[in-house]
Amino acid sequence: MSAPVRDVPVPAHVMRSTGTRTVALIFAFFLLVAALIGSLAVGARYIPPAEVVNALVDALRGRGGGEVQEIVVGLRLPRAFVGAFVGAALGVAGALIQALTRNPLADPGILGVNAGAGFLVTIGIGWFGVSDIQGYVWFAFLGAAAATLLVFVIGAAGPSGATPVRLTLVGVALGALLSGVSSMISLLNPTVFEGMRFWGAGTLTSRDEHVLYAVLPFVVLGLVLAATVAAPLNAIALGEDLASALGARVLRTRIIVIIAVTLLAGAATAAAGPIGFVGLMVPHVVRWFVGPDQRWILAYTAVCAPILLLAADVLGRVVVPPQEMQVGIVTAFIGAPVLVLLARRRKITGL
Amino acid sequence: MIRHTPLRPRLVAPLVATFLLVGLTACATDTEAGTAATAGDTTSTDTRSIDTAYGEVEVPAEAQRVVAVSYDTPWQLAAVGVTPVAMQDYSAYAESFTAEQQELIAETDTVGAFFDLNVEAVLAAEPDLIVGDVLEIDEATFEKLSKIAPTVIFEGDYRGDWRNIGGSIANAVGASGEFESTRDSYDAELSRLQDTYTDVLARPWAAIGDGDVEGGFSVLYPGGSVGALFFDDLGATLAPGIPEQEAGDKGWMYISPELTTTVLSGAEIIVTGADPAGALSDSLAGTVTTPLFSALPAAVSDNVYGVWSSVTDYGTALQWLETVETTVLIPASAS
Repeated sequence: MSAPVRDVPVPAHVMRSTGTRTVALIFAFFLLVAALIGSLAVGARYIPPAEVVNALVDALRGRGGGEVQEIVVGLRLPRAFVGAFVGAALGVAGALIQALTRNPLADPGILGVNAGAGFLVTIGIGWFGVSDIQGYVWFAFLGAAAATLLVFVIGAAGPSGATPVRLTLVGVALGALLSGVSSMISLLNPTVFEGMRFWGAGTLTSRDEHVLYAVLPFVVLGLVLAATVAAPLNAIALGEDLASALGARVLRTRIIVIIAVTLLAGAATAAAGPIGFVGLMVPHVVRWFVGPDQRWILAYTAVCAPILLLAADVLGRVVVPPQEMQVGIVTAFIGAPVLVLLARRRKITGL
Repeated sequence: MIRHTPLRPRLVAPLVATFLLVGLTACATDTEAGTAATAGDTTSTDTRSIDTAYGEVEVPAEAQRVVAVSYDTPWQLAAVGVTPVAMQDYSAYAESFTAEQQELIAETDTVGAFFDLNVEAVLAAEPDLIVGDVLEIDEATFEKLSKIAPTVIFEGDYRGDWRNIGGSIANAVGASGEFESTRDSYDAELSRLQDTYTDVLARPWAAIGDGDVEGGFSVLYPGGSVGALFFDDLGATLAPGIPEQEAGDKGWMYISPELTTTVLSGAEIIVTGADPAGALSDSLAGTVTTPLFSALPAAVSDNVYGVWSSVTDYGTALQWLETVETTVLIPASAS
């Protein structure tokens, strides 16, 4: 099905032609490659670019070892890829939830995904003795999925069904409840508090290939599902009645979006902890340039969100030497003023 | 530091409360374990004036029921032979205490948790003296506690300054002699270790604690509560490569995992925080097994030691010296 995009006047800042959008997307992709290279080259420990390249070449040839190779290949390389996939997952999840709820300032947190993940990580640390990131991943993912399912079940109860407003209200309420319980457990249990200290701020530090392998299938599946609902979401943006008249299957689209958001936000939160603002900012800014077509919004977001997350992570490595600032804190520093700016704009970019 | 001399009327309420409590407890038949007698035996009205963080306070010359309201206070009292009748609830952190301390924790009534003082529980403990430090007891809380019993709150030169605070607490409970005695014992033992293990202490050392990210750690500096033990008291040599401490720091600095080699490769001996059994925290246990840490000269030569370092007074400081000798100095001198 090919749904029409709303027939509204196109502002001057929006790219008009498909060719321009395609070229800009390719440019954004190169920026993403540059961000990945930057993530390998820049860190708390300065390593000259030539040594970074040598370390990568040696690792590819199965040679060497030593400190530089361990830092570049053992620490930075998996961290960069985890950052790229987490960024894409958070961004696309944000774009989907904004489209589903038709709220340009929505983010994955409003479905209770982050809170659900955090709650089960808290349980995992406190009751099951989980103490490393490989263990957190599965608890976080299970919590994210359970929270989303619960939101959907509660939101769907009643004659009006799972409307975006009901899902949002239930998600916010459940998120607040789970966050409160998690905080209470953390404050009462020093072991949980200690464990959540690492995970709770949102960080990519020490994320290795095992974390990447654990969440990658879910991120890929979530991105594929997102691609399949881009066109129906364009129809839904016209209003549900008109979308149905155009042949869009509204309920099916909603269910797929919720599954995709759960997979993407759950996997991202499991891998890196709760990272805010990426899922809010990037789709919003992208929409400013590419207009309301979800196909372009999702494609651009999948490329641009990792750029933001990787840039924030690199910034966090060098801004307070010799320690690191968690990427979740950096995105909050960037995101909070951007959110204020967006909220103060006379006209928020519409959906 | 806020200091003032309380007005005379302010003394009336605590004194009245004290007499009321003394009168009530005089009827009791139980005696508190570890204290000399029931409060009813306190017939002496002698008081002494003590200079505290919140002004001068009149305290009983021979306090019988002392309540400890700050985290380190019970151990500072125990070190000079005074057993508090009530103290904070340490059950959530019990494994971080020695067996001796755990006995006291199990036997003693509680008055709330760290930074969560239960004033009603303090009242129920019927104290004739309340003792704490300014980290947890602000002036408003001090005022409340003063209505229950004479309250002495002390402040050190830095957070965790157990030497100064411990001395003030000993003075408040009339045990300055015991304090000086344990201090002399500590100084004597310290001198013995410095003389015996001069070569080991001259080798480059690093002291580390938990980091703020997985795989990271913190370096401890002279002047910090734990760093002072190793570098100021014991006289261990700080390894080259440890970054300069920034002004205003609290004696430690977080280090990125990427800088593990840069910061710690110059250390021949690395000491880390540990519980009384020598077990590292989960985060430190993860850090010392990272490839970068495992390749450090100190790790390769098996000179990374977990040392219990929760020193709060000269009593626990003596235990710490014993731990350092058996855990670090003897093995390191053989390597």
